[in-house]
Amino acid sequence: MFSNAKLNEKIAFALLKVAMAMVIAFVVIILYDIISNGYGILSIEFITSAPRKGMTQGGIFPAIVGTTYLIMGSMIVALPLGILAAIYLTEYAQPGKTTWMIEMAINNLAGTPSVVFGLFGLAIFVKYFGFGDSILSASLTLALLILPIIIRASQEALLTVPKEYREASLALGVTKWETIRKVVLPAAIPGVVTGAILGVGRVAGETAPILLTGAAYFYPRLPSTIFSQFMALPYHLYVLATAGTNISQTRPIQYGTALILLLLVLFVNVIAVTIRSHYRKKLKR
Amino acid sequence: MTRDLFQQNMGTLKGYIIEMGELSSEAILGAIQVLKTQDAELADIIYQGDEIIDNYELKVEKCTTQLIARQNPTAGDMRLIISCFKIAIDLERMSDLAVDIANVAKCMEKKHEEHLDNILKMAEICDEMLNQTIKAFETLDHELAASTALKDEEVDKLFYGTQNRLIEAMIEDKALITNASHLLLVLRYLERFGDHACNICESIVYVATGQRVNLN
Amino acid sequence: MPETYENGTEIEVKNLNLWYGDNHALHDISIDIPKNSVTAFIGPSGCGKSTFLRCLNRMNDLIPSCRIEGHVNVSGEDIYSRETDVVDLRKKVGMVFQKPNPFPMSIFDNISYGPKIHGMSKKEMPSIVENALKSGALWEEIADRLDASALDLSGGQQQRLCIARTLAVKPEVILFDEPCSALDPISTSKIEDLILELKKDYTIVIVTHNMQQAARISDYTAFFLLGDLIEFGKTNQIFENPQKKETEDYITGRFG
Repeated sequence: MFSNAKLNEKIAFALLKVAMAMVIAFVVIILYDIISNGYGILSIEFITSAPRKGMTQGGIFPAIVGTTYLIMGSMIVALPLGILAAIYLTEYAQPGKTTWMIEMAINNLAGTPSVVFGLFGLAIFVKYFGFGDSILSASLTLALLILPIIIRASQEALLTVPKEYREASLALGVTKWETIRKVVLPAAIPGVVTGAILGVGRVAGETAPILLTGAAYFYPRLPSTIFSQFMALPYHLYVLATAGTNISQTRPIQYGTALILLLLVLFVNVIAVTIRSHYRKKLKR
Repeated sequence: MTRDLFQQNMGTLKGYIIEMGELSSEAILGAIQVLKTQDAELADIIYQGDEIIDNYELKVEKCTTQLIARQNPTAGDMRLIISCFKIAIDLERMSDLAVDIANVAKCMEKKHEEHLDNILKMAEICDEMLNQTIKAFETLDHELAASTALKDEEVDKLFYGTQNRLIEAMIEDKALITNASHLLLVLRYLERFGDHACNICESIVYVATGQRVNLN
Repeated sequence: MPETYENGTEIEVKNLNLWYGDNHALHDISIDIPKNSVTAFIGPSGCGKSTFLRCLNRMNDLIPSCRIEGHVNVSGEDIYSRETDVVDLRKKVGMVFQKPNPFPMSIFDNISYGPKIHGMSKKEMPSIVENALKSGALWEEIADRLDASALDLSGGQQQRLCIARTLAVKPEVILFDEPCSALDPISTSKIEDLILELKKDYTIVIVTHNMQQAARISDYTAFFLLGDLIEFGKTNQIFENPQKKETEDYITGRFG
């Protein structure tokens, strides 16, 4: 019996190792492909100038700026909304039919294809509210897209805040709202930031929603207002790879764009992780 | 210092014992005075003092039961509490003996001067023993306690010597019998008084060192 | 039950019943808790002593399935009446919990948290913090590092910080819910000494699963069993001569 259990343990452990190795292998292969092919094109000019000559030459600056704006815009909307919704759901909502329905709605929202969000954004923000094809419309659409992620992560974060903190504060004659604001939320920030990191990745990478709500095929200027059209990295990449004037000629630019997109997401995540570890350190001894 | 309340209560308990000791000392001194003067009023004062001492014994009993029930005394604390309980019983008995002496003394006639000297000497030693015992208790000085107990030998010597002489005197002169038999009682009481002082000294040695010794 | 108290009555409870859903957890509890004294609640786990303690500052309100009937008067005011503001009540009736639960902030911020929210000015804060820490018997140990994280303190210090944090709000009553069960014996006796000191100015109610602790520090002891208040009296009497067999069995360890 004993040796059997040992054998099982060995097999299970080996399987886990194989799975892990495969994950790492895929990541390495993808990264290697992007870096080795995109590295050559990287230059100051590439990231600071606009595309030229039918996008076969020049840089991708407008797309970098556009994606940065999208990240900022969608976060400004989605973070507060998501956190407040999470607070309501975890701290105030009484368990019951209504809460169950809200939870289900959020789950379904998370599973909705992004192109559907794009269509919704087109109908509501672009047409109905008349924001037109613009950063605003695209940011709002993306905000809706990542809302479930932010809500879920924030809910998890709020739930992991020890009950003792809440009790301590309430027992001092502090109202529930003050308790949440002063004690619970600060303690939940690391988890919320984790949600935000996931959200940033989604926002930076989505193509379909912005395609329908404001991303331009070619717009070699910087957007001047939130109602301007804009370029964005993923869409630019899509355009170059599928509909450009000379697909094989722009291959290095495609890879360079992908690499920059990865670096941009990495950069934003580094900032977020720094914030998170700062708060974690404060929360732990 | 932690466990402030416990320390406080222990202090109170020790205080009770010391006060009891002082009262017992007053009682024996008073009894001797009665022996000399047959002063019935002074005897009354000794009776009243005995009531106070009985009260103290009750207080000590309450205090020790409370300390045991509530404070989980261990080691030195426990030895002290247990010993205080025993010492209180000894002191109460000593006070009773003083009352007994006063009782006998106040109804005695004079004419016993020649035997009184030894008895007074015994009483003096007994009182000194008691005072030293109290001092030893205050500081938990086991050496002082042991040396105090040694004095009981003198008391015993005086007891046997005086007892023999009183018996001889009674044989010689039958008129002395009433008085002398009273004095024999006083002798006996004083001897017991010394024994109780010894018991207290044993308790002190136990508190201070944890050793159970026999000093009688 | 003692009829009158030397310092008067702080909390009067009359016929209190409590249910968790269908579970009748407290049966008709009536008790008068004396002012400026330490009252201990003892009893085996699940006897309802902590639940009852939490009725006294309405912490049970946080549990949705909890239903309470009966009257609890704190210094003459019915705390379960409609007009009672729970927030005000909890200012008046503070609570210290089983596990030391300082906020993940500095020592200073932990103490000033309550007073700040209750509208004390910033200027007063240093003296409020100092006084609270002094009353909490912690000032001398940490006066030079008020900016350090409260989580860096030892368990016993954290618990005294929590007591000081409660004192800073100036309560009348302090409820202790097994405050020493997570602490070592030295820290425990420091807290016990502190409680004895605090009873001069506050009414103390303490739940403890440690009978000896109740015996050591309380003036009055209440014994709970299966949601009933079995016996309540002077601690002297309960531990020397309990009137009920259940009490005797419990405090002599012959329970069950």
